[in-house]
Amino acid sequence: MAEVAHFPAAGTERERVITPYQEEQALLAAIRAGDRQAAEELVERTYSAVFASVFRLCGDSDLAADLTQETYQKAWGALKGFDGRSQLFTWLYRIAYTTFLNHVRRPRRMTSLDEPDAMDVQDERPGAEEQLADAEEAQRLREAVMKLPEDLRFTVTAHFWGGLPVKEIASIEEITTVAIRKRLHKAFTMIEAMLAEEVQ
Amino acid sequence: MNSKSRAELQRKLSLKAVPRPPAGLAERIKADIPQYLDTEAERARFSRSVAFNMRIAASVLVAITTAGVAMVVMNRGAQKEMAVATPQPGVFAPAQRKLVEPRTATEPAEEVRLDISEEADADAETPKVQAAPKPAPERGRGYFDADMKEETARTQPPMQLAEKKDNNEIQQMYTPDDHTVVSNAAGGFAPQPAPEPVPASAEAESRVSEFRREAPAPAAPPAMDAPPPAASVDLETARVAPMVGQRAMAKLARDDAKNGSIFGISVNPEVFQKIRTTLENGGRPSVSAINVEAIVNYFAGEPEKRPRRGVRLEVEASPAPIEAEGDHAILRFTIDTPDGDANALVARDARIDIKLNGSVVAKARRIGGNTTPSMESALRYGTSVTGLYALELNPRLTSTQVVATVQLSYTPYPDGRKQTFTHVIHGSDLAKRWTNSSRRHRLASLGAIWGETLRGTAPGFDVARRAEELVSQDPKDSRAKELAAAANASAGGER
Repeated sequence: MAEVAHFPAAGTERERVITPYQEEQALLAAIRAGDRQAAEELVERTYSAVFASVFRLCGDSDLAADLTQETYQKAWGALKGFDGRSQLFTWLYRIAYTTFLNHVRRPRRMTSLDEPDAMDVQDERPGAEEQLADAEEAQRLREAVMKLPEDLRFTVTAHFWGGLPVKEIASIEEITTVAIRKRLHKAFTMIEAMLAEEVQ
Repeated sequence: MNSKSRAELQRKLSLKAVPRPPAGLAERIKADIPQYLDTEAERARFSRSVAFNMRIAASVLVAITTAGVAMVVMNRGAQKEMAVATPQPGVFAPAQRKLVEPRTATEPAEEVRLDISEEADADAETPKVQAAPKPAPERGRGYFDADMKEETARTQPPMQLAEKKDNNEIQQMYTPDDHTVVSNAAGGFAPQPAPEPVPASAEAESRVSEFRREAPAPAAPPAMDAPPPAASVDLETARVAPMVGQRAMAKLARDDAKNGSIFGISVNPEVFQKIRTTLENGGRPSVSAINVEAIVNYFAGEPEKRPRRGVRLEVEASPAPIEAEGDHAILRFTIDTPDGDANALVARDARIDIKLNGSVVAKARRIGGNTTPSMESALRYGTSVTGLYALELNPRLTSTQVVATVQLSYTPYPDGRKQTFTHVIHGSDLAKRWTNSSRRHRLASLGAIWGETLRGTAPGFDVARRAEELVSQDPKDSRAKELAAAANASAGGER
């Protein structure tokens, strides 16, 4: 059984996920040739990072797992359309991001059939309050990011939550790296303004 | 924004370590790896199948054209003979009429179409293409059985209500190209056509049958191009359009209006009116008068906004409003056509296909009917039809599993390209309360429950209370008021 991947700091994670170009192209060619083992290797290499990115988008572990699975289901079918201009993980992230947005855009708020509505449980463990505060702050930040215009939102989430370098985002968005940096700057301004409004 | 605050924001955005993926996630993902990853070979397979289909279609076209030319030659020869003889209309008119009788002229075309449809549906006795929209007796074999468990064991997944196909189709159902659901919200949304070409081989096979059915269309004469005004379509006079298809469509449209059924589903509004009158007079309607399908369609009613053009497919699923042992759900499909002349046709050869995932759905039945929806040869403007299915689900349903796929295909009248719309219902679509469904869905399902309660085929359920809740949410909703009043009347006013 495969080991569950660890989650080191963002920089290391980026290195693990974005494999050298030639290696990646060889893997892609093998998958397209019908090599199932190559497909499984791709899964092993990337699923943790995809899960992490989706978790940062939605904040829920179970939902992130489901959306990750759905991402790969779509990826297999979209493989023939992948031209290899961007890296495999960049392409996967794009699919994961779209999958997440499709989930969010469904008209009704999803609630589990089994879970109770009331989830307020007082946690008596030490440090729980701090954890709760961190979680609330993360949630506010997530909500602020989700309110950004689509182009800014994708850029911010891809860079910070998907771990994609600016160059990769520029490649997938088909614009320059300067334009990406401008987007980030504009996004920061808007997020700050939204967070400041909430505080007031 | 200064650099310090920017750095702080970047720090916050680079969130702390995330939890590990759940155990088994990698295995779940690997299990979804499709059987055919070989995209190049898949293209070649698809190309070969398309080439084969093209050859078949070409052969059919040649056969039809040859038959048409032969008929024209024969008719001309007969007319020349008639012109030579002494004209006596009283004597020759019957013969002349007989010679131009469309039936003889079009029998070969009918035969060819029958052959095509029979080939396309290997497992089912397809009804005649131009026949009235009666359900194919062989389709959904076993669906009539009272004990669905037995049938499920016999057929094994997938459990399909439209056609029997092998299990590979369920795997093919999961190909992302089929996931064309934009939203399964009710109250108006734009279904997107499935992308073409479809890469999976099983889908290619179904496309073969669709292509075959379409094959005769190019042989249609120019007379088909102009939509006939209602007044000109008269089977009794010599101005009748010569083509069987056009006559059949017009006749079917009139038959539908008379019988109140579309896709074999009753949409007759008089059913509810009669039941209500009986209840208001203190009587009890007979079981035979309670057509649950018609009641469902009465309360599903018209959409808030009809589509501007084309035919719209609406699909919605929710948990059932009644509490019963097991996981029960209701699946609704509704088809709406645009506003327009109610006698004019908007589409032809419409077909609705519902496929249920046998590994997820333990039992299923169509509410109010025991047959699968049939093909509809002629859809008119300003129509709506709703069908409901009661599903019993396996308890281990996950949010990503496909529960059902609903597909609508039709050809815009008079000469549009065939359109296909597909909606996929996942387990996540059922992770909500029934009360969060659209009004149309709730009214349709309440209507169904009320109808079945009246017939005595369902246990009592407080339909009146639920309907009154709908009224309180929207006092202008006349259908909800009617349902509440009728449910109160049938319950004897006791609540």
